[in-house]
Amino acid sequence: MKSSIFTRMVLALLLLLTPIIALYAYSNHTSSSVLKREIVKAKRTQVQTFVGQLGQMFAQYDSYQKMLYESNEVRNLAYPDLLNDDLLYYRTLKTVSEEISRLAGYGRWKGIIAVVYPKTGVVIKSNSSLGAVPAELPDKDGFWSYRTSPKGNAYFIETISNPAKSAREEEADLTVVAKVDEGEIKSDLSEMKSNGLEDPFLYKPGDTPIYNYTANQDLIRELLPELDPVATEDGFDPLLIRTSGGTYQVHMDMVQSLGWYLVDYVPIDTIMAPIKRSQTMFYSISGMMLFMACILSFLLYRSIRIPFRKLMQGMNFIEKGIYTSRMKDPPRGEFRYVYQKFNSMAARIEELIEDVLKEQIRTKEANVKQLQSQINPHFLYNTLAYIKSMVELEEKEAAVSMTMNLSRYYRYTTKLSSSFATIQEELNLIENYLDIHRMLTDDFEYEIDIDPAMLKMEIPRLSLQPLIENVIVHAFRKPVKYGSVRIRGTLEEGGLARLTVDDNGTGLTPAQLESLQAKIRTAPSDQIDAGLHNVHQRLMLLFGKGSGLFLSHSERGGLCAELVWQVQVGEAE
Amino acid sequence: MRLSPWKAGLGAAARRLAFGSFLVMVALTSSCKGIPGLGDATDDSNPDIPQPYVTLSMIMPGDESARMREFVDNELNARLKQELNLKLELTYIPWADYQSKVELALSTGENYDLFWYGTSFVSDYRTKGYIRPLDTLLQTYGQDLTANIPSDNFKQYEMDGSLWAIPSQAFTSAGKFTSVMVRQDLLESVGMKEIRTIADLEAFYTKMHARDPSYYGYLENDRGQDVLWRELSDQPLTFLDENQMFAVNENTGELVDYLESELYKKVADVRKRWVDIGVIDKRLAGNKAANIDQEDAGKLLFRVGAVSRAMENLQTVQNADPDAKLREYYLAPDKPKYIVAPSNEAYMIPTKSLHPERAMQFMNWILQSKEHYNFIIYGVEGKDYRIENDKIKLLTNDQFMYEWMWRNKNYFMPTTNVDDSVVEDMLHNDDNARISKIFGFHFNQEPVKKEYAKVLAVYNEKFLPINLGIVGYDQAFPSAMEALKKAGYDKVWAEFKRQYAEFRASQTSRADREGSK
Repeated sequence: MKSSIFTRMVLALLLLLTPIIALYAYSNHTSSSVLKREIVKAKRTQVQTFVGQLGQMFAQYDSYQKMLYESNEVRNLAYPDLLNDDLLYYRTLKTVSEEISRLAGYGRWKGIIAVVYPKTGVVIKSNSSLGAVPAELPDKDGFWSYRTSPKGNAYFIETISNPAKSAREEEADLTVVAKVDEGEIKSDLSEMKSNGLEDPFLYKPGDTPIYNYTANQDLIRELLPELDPVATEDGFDPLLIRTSGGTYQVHMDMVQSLGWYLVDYVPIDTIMAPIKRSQTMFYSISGMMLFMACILSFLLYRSIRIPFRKLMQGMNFIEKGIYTSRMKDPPRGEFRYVYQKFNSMAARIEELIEDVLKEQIRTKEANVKQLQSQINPHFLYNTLAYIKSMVELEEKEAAVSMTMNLSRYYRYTTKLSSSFATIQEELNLIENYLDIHRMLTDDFEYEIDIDPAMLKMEIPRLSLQPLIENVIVHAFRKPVKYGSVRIRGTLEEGGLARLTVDDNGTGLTPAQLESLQAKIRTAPSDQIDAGLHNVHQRLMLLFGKGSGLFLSHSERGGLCAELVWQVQVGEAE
Repeated sequence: MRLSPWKAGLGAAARRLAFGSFLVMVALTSSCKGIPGLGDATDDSNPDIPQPYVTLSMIMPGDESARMREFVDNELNARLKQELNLKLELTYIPWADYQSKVELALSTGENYDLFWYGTSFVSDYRTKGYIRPLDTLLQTYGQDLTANIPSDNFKQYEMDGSLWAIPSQAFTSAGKFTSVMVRQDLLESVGMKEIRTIADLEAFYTKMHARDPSYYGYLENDRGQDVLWRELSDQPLTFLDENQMFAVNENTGELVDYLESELYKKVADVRKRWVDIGVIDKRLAGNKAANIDQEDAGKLLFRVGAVSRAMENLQTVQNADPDAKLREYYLAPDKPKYIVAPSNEAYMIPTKSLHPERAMQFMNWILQSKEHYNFIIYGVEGKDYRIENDKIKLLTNDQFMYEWMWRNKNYFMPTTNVDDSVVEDMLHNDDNARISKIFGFHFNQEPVKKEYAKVLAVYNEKFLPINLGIVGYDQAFPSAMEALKKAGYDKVWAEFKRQYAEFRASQTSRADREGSK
């Protein structure tokens, strides 16, 4: 019992929780690595999408450029001789200029397209701003190249000329220009930033990166030396760059038409934040569960183990014979009932044990009293004197009868083996006793009338004799007339047995009767009346309430003493 | 239930334990919440800031400057987010295509929230159902608009009892587009002082061209005939329509079939002469954007004025030529000017706008204070401009929000580079002004919309070259007029006359009523 329920319960809970936590930790590890891969993939896809968007923008301007390059009107304008008619020239020019502004107006991008005719000096462009088309075009035709104007404005430009221009000194008839300002790219980068990228910038080894408007330029400059486009091209794992401010996961993808890379970097902590969060959450919840489990088992311990221990203590007391032990402060719930039952059980045991003890004591007292009364010297002297006289008178039969009666009387009264006797045995004693006295005084007569069914019933030994003694000692002390004692035994319907002793003596006044009755019912005294009290108590202890000794006035003038008890079922037969 | 001391102690301990576990739980949950990135602390507590955060799409004419782009992306939108909880997204449409692209956007139902255009388009767009009435919005969100714009200005956009546009500019507007804006510095450099006649313009070009042939004259083809009317016509006329086909005689109040009039021939002849002598460069005339290109390049000698264009365009032209000066002149300056509309600027909210109330809030924000006004027009004080002696000293040459769109008598401050004479011109522009007979007239195209569309197509094809002087009047006019009549010109003309007569009748009856009061 030392490793109590409490410890066992905590152990059981631990055993339950441990595999759950272990399983979760495992699945968490798996899912977080999957998630990590997915996040990396998502980030990569995101970067690729934006690269696609940028590429699309440049591709769109590519196609505008081609459209213009292949347009007849655009070509014809290069040769004014073909259009010597003013109206035709006007209309062609109008068509081309409208075409250019139409093209530039579509889509959400704000690039510039223009046709430059170097020989005539005519420039038709989609944007009227000064410097919209650089004064100096690239030396030869080519795809997007990154240039900076003398004023410091950077831009991407691509040109296509007719005839194709491959060196500076060649002069083309017309050149179609597409140009995207760095500002447009910056604006796009900022847009990307607000649409989910962390801090995107455009990068090409050897050039100054193009930042978004709110870029952390210092950090990017710190990252730049570590950027290795070639290394990241094939591998799946993203580039990890450690800086003074933490570790960054870098995603980059090339805008094919430009040869520049769109780069985005994410602090690793940010990327892993959701996973870390769920982990923290799980572990704290597990901790909570464990904690709650302990509280739960403590509560159980409090409501079961403690009452149980107290109950055990109570049992031990009872076992050691301390029958007064009772359970105090019953707890709520089932244990309250158990406590109550325990208490009533203890009370009942105490009561029963007391009854038995008292009965024993009273039996002994009765015997002692009896012995005392019977070893009364006068009684013995008188009988012995009677026997002597009878012998002297040669009344042999009377002497023998007295001797026999005396002998039976003493044998019975001194026999201490059993505390019970049948009514028959008791009656035999009474007859002996009465015969002895009648022989001595010869001034009374007696009559015994008992229901035969009662003769075999057992009552406390010597419970009838005190009543008879009472009659001889008190009722017939001053004989005024011839005495008469009647002993009757009746059995009533309800199983109530009665043994009545009444006489025709002087009797008692009502007040005396009442006082005697009270004496019998209350504490025992040292007087000889204690015999009556004894009888009453013994009957009550044996047969329960309603049994006992009851006194009343006899119809024949004397006192009527009645033993009443409830016959146990089965005994009546 | 009474507790024994021991029991009470145990109970208290259990309670402490339970409370402790509760604390732990609270701490755990709050620590989970405290993990960064779980939710930005947006302060939604301010009831004045509208929710949610939206993007306001607005169409602007012209080309966006690099600084404007940067300004909108950064400073302006940061501020608008804070004060109006919106992000402004501008779509610039070059001047040359503005009308067609705007109408395309409106008719195809792109979700723009706000756009600007000239007065004459309001009625048409209302009829076509492109724009929505603004009365309730103005009442709810436009306190600062009504406070800073005279109530008369609003009246010109009231049709059918509703308001359809915000007359954003509240300044002078007499004689708008009937003046000529001149490169004053170049004019002075060839020894001239001012322009008063057509001959002055031609002399200016000839002298300048002799010195430097890279300079050109007038290249506009959509306006400017009425500039010449001031000299060529003995009667004061005002164009009735944006397309320059019909006019009204301000003296008689009668309509004039301008294309078939003698005056049109006179104008066409002047233009032809200009092409011949090179004032109009026929090699550039077909390029619709050329006049702006040339002006931006600092190569344009003169073009149509717009009351305050000398001030507005100075910044741009000084980009190309830091010594440039501009000034506007009226030919025959003693003749009166006419006020067709108190404000020629109209801000409209498309029917399909997703955030009309935000568009109104944004407009109201502009006129809310001088500080807002300067911020959106000139940028960041100290970075883009400085205030010097009650004038704006520009620190950048890049254009922000067009000043003329929102010019307001209560907030106006000239820029330091503008000559006082130019400012004087503007402030006295209304001096010799009269209200035009067509003030408040809006042509409803609906009854003749098919014919009108056809007539416009023919006009653009056949008459623009005549207007520009690319072809001669005598050579091209008869066939052009024939084509125009075939397209239904007479029906359109009749409808114009009918609607105008109706308008006149209502004007007279109102005047009578007011007179009898």
